[in-house]
Amino acid sequence: MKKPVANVMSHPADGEAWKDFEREFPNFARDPRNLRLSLATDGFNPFGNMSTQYSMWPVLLTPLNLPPWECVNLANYFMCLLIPGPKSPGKDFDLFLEPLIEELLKLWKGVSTYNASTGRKFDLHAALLWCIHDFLVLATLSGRTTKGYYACIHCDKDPFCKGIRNKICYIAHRRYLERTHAWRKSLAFDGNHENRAEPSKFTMDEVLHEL
Amino acid sequence: MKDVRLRKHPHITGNKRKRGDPPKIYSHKVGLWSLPYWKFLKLPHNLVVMHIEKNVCEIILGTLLNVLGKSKDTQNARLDLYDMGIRPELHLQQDGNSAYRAPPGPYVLGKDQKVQFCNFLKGLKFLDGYAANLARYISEDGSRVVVKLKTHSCHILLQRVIPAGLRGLVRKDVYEAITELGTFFMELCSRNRRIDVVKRLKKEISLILCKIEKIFPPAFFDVMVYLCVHLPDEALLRGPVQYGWMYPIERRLGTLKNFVRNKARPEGSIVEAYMASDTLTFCSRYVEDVDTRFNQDDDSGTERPLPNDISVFKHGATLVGANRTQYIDAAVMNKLVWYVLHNAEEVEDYLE
Repeated sequence: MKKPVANVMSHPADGEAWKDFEREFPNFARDPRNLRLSLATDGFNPFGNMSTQYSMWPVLLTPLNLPPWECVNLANYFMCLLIPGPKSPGKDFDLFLEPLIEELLKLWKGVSTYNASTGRKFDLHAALLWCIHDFLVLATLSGRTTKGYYACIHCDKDPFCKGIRNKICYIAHRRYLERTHAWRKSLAFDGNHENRAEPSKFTMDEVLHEL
Repeated sequence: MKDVRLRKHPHITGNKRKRGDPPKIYSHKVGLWSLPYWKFLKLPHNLVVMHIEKNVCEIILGTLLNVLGKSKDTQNARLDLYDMGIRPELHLQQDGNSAYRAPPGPYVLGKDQKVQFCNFLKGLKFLDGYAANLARYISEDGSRVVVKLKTHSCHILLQRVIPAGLRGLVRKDVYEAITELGTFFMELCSRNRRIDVVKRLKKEISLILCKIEKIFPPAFFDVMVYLCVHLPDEALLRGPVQYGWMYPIERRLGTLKNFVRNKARPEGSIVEAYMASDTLTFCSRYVEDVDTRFNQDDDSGTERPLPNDISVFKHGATLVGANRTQYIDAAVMNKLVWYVLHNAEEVEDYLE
């Protein structure tokens, strides 16, 4: 087990997301052998030359509770799905993920595993902590739109886009400044004062209501 | 898996948006929600720092060097300024009858400065393996950026190179704003991050973006520039950025791509080669007396004995690189033989 150093983050275990998950599921956190996984996906063209349109999508799983040098070891990225081409799956991504989700559910309940050091069997659990993918795939994998006025995934309420001549731009960074900051009264930004607070995120109940 | 057919998602049933309905933020409930713990996750989807860096760098570089099609400083952008009634010195001006002229912005390099900046990029030398050869991105005459930038080049450019190269070429506030953005990414990407630094970054980034907002036209701010605001929040949740970005995954994709042998069946050959290599990797972890990837010694900086183990030839240095044959003439050879005979411990027995 790694010893945490105060004020330094050198591993996902130091992050809030990991700690919060352990607080939420103390039974899961009790056994350090339980796996925390991250899921990564991206499309690529196996034929090198970009003139041929082809994209296949491997889905990789990586265990996160390993020492840092093992986390980035390429031998530890396990390809669990390979979604065939020639077109990227798009909306059907969900369907291709179903077998993986079935196995993840099984892993969450626990799978009997042999422990070589003690010679006994134990129940191994695993949980998916986060997904890594680019911004376009985020829309297909989370169902959250990443286009238009609600493009930013953290600003569900009152996002600050502005339609200009031929596109949408995001120019109200002053909303993140303090209420009394002099720039909030400046006319140099978009010709107006800025009184709004920063945009807020949906709570979990509101997200579930949206779905 | 029972008989499944690709089709429209079952949750989507005739829910077309009516006029006046609020916009739908979530299109459907994806399969990942069936995981019982999914709704407790604080950070289910990462914003990838790599792509954000790349996009921001491309936008900044495109606007600075006025690359056709990449620059955000277009005529429409100038008209936006006119619509908002800000920065009147940049509005389109009419000279003569019908021709409009766009006065040069402070954020665009002039002709000479562009050449100067490109020459700076051309002359850069890096440590081995630190970055790609940036000179390859510059055109023959040294005035334009021609090739599409790689993500890692953008990473280096934004954090180190553009701030260093812009110094003295643009107005001071433009230089400062871009440099601060570079420093922000540099601190965000450090391997051992201090929590108080990240909290400080969270306050700084909105100020930095405000500074940029004062300089660049509104069209500059697409969603990728805006997403920088949320990066420190995610960094606090996730831990170091190395566990949530795409570089290792892209490298893995590179190995998968090399597995393709039969071009008619790319998926098949990838799966077959992957299974083989995975099985062998797994087995090799349990093999002891054979050289594998896992029991290899770290051979940097350690002395390895030369094949002929005579004491005079041991010099304590590690030899790197290929062999080279060199012929020496008789006089030098005589001296060498004399030296060896007088210094080798192994000869002493015979001398006695």
